[in-house]
Amino acid sequence: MEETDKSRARFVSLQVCGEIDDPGGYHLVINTDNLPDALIVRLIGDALERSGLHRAEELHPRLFTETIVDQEGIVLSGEKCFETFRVVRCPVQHVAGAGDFAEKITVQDVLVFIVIDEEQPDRRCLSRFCHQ
Amino acid sequence: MEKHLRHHGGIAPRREVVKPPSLTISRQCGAGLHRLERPLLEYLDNNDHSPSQQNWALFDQSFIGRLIEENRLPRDHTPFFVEHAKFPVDPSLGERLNHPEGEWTFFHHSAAAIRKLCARGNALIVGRAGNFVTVDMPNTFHVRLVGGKNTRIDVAAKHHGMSLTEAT
Repeated sequence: MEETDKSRARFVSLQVCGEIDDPGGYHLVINTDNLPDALIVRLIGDALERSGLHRAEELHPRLFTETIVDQEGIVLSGEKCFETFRVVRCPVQHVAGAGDFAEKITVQDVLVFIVIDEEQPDRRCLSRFCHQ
Repeated sequence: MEKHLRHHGGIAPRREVVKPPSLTISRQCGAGLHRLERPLLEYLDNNDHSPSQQNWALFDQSFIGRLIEENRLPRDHTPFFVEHAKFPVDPSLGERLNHPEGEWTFFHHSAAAIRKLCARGNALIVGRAGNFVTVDMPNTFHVRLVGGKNTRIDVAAKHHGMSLTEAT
């Protein structure tokens, strides 16, 4: 065990000039002693989910109370009422790229996914619409 | 229309295409990752709110090696940007990961493979300095599993069918 750990530390030191045991290199460090596996799994999964990696960053705050317009001029009208964001209209003019095209807009604590199926370009839908 | 709304509504819209996340796991020997792999993949699949349609998949050293040998990786190369690093790294890491392809060692192939897999999203990378080689990728999340020495020796001994002395 000691040899394996030393070998891994050497690999990291040699190949990326890093320290494997430096907690600064991780979002989350978990001591697995005395924790049930199910809890560890949940800690990792929930931390990932809440980390913000699922969200777009730095959306302009005024977006929340106004109309969303994307770069192609597609309008998604919406209204923000406390924690509720209601999508009034879906985009109809977007030209999908290769393969399925999925985009996600984050509006504060609400996620909206727009999925466009290239094979059925008229079928655009909000695949998910959920509160964070 | 955007200009119009910007002008009248004072809107500064920004929309970004968000890549599905990926996860790197570093672990001390005996920290018990082998027990967690399957339930973690199931949990991630069941709680995946990203737009991706693909299931989560685990890539360890042997699987990554096989993908490289069989040339089954996406061709798109993701250049490394040290200035985008989420935590401080040695400046030489940029030169190392942007090394000319003709002079690559196995480490470079491995790092490139990890970056391609993480760029696609829903990849769980075990070991191989995954947190360092993807440190500039905003969709990656980095976890380290550690444990007390005695507990890890117990776990390693049971897992590999060794005596406690051998496992140490």
